[in-house]
Amino acid sequence: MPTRLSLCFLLLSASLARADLNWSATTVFTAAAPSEGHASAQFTFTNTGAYPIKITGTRTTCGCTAAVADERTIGPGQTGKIAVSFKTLGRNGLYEEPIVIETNDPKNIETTVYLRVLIRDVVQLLPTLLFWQEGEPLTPKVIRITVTDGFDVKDVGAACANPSVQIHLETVKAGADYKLTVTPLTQHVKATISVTPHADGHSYRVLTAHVRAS
Amino acid sequence: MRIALRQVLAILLLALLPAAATGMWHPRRPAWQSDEVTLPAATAWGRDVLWIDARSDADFARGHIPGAASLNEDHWDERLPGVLDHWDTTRKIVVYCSSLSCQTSHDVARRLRDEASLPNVFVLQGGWEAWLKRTP
Repeated sequence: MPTRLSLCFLLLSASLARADLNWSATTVFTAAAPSEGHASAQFTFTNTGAYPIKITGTRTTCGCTAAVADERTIGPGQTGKIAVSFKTLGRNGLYEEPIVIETNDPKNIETTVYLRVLIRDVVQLLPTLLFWQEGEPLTPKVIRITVTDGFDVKDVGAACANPSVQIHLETVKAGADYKLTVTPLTQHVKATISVTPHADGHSYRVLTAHVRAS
Repeated sequence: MRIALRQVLAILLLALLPAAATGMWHPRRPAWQSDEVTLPAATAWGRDVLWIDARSDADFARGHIPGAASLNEDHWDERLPGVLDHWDTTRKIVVYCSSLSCQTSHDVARRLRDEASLPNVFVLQGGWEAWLKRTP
């Protein structure tokens, strides 16, 4: 019996701790390409309490994220929003940015919501660095070039301005997979390889891979 | 006494179930194997460390760890080759950002590991704030 009472107390405490700001989602997922510049998302909330609430500020941990709050005082039953923008230029991969929302509600002085952004370029190069250590035989190494799902790529071009590096591009599956074989012809080589995805009528952003032979 | 003990055990077991589920499936669960390194451990590596500052250009200009290279994602393509010029396989890379709460150093470290396939890439626990608080 005392155990049951303790359980009831725990459950009651949990329900009392419920916030008056009811978020439609505390994590929002979005996807973008680096060339788009920004990824945008919106967090919406409803004031389910009995008194008006005002968003007094927002905080992010990175200069890459900006959050703008609804300036209105949100009355009971009303809905407000936080607009979030994430800088995508130069970025790649999955990012999770916490955004701290500050309110004048003593029960919810701070709430943290999360923006998850998947940034994928038109093609992915793996790896972006080929490295030969000192004394290592200069045998060929491979960079895989994979077209990201959802992008229309007709073919891919590769170029290296350094004549001491030989490259050979092979199509594994047209518009989807390519194999770039790289061979340095001498030691002490530094070079950059440019990879350009082409579509009908236009080219996408040039991506780079790096070659270092000690 | 025995009843009280049973209650404590029951509460602990109840707390353990959601904690275990969170630890296994939550998207922001803590990593079992951390890529972070403390400042004393990193400084003990001496000259074998390549420090990478993942903060903004303005923050880097205000102050940085001596010898650190600036590599933030706003200038990734332009700056990565310069960073690679200072790297060799004997050097450990330690990336830092402003503080314990910033995520930028983890993002830069992930890209160095996953995209460039660099080995021995670590994140400085506490970031620049930890460096400022260090004891000489």
